[in-house]
Amino acid sequence: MGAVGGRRDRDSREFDEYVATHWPRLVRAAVLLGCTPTEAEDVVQTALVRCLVAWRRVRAADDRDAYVHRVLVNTFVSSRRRRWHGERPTDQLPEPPGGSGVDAGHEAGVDDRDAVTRALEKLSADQRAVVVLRYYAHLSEQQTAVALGVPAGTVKSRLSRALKVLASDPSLTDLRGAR
Amino acid sequence: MTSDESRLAALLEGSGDAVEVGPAPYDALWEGARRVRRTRQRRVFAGAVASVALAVGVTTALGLPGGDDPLRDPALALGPYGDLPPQVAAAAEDSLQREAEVAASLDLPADTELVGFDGLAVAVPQGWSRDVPTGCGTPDAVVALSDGGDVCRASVNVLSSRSTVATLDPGDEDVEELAGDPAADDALSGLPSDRVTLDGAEFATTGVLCADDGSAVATATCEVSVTALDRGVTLRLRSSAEPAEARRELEDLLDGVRVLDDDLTAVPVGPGAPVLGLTGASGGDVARPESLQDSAEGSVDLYSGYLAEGEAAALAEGAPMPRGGYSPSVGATSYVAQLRAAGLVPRVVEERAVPAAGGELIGTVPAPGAVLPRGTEVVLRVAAAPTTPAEAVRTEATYARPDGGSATVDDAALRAGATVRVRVGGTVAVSGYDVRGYARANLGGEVDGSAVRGVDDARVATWRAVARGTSTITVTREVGGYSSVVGTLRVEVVG
Repeated sequence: MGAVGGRRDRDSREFDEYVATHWPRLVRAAVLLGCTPTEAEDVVQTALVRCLVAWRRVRAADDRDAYVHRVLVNTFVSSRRRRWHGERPTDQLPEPPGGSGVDAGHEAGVDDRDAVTRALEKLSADQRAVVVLRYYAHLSEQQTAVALGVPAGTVKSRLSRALKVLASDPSLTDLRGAR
Repeated sequence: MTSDESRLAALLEGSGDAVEVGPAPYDALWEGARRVRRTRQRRVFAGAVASVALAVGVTTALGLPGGDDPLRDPALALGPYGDLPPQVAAAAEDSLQREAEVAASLDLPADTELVGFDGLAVAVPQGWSRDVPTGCGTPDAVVALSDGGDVCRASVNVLSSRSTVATLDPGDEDVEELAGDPAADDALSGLPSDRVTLDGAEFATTGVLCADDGSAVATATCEVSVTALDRGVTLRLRSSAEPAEARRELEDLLDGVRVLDDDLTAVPVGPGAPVLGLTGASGGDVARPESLQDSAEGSVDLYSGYLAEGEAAALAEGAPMPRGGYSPSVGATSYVAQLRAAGLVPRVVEERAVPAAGGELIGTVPAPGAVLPRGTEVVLRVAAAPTTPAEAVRTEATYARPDGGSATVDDAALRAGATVRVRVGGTVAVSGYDVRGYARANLGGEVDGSAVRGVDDARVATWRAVARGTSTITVTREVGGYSSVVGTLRVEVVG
């Protein structure tokens, strides 16, 4: 019993440490995959519950980050397939009229994010996933392949195609030129 | 990395950094895992192969949208059925009559109706909506009748009507891989150790557990599970009402548990149930072969959740379900098999549905959970093939709100004619997805007014607000030279 309790303590500590260091980045990765921020936290929470249930299996994986991201992507894909409800039509617009109080810097940041979001939306789901894992989560090609359950060659081809799409995106071109 | 890759990484980094992230929900994570393990333990204990979750809430107390919500997707309102198409109503008339006769023959509490699962049923107040068996997600109705897998059961939040929780697919190999040995993690679980007699049968039960007495019931105020010992079926009842009210409701529901005679059965819910009211596909995975990603639009035969071309007609004529070629996850094929296994007879009726792919399952009448005599027909509402390009896609508009956030307008709202507000310089983009949830092009539109202007964009139809005022975008989809209208967006542009 003592050995079991000690193992559980170690698992708990490891999991909590993993969450502490990875939670923000996983949530942001989910946003870049296409979630709203609220959805992203839900998706990551569900993914981490899945990981926690089998934490010893996660620990034993050759590449923990790739494994967790694989769970994250699968959870995200499932959430997209089963998205429960979208926005409802309403007589009342949610934002106050006029939109005052938005400063220029904030607006520029919004435009940047908007441009990145729109650019990502032009990618297929697979291309988007590979871009986010490779260039935001900073997984290697091999790790990305593990995370997506595809050969490394497929990762390369998807990245190549995704980069072509993004390179041709006028809003991203403008953004780069402005910097 | 090349310079382009580095720039892209920087852009993503900046975009990600702008997302405000709340603190990690450690307690919810651990509680979720405990629930998963507890559920698995119960399964092991009871030998159950499935269970039904009956989430109970109070519309008035919590402001949850109920079955009579006028904005509610009618396809989800399975309890009262809403306005059925005439051909569906006619086909289901006899079955609905049989359902009513069964209810009348049982000694049910006043003003209740039966929701059944695999030999058991519970009397719930009339008018409670039976939410769809989509598995995970926050229920959009008062009663959720679902069986979406262990993690789903752990995560469904009955306290909030708005948050979205991701699901895992029952039967998903990855889930099985992650599940590990359920007996290995034993200490976090509690078995239903008490015994209770309900409707003359012996059940194992957890007893009513409530948060206010220290029990771990993170997503409800109170909950109770009962497992029929003679058949290994577990009912899980949860309430989000105030503690005293929740206890009373759960006790009432336990009083309404019925053990069905052998000549009765229930319309199945569970892993094989159709994804009702949704247009997203149920099969597929990010790891599917490239060739499938690029398959022709409308080709859904390799994905479950739909009947392949010609299959609906064949089924209607009594043909056996074909084997092979389908995803093993949720789907029409497995659902028909479940119906037959439950002793019910599938009857396919086509109807118009937008957006939908031909052959997509829209719902069943009587609904999942209905208690019927064996041999009763259950109508499978199957979507007829779309007649215009616009009907074949689910659309979603995204726009930059004046306060800096972003928002979406869903397909139904767009088709009904929606109004959005953006600042000068902001954008409105409309994406189209096929029935499998993959992005599709060919959306465009005409602008009436000078407040917005189209952005030259090959893949996502986008308009930018260029001046104060109001413009109306008529969103269209063109395929093969034939253009059809999806809906309209009235865009109010503010300074």
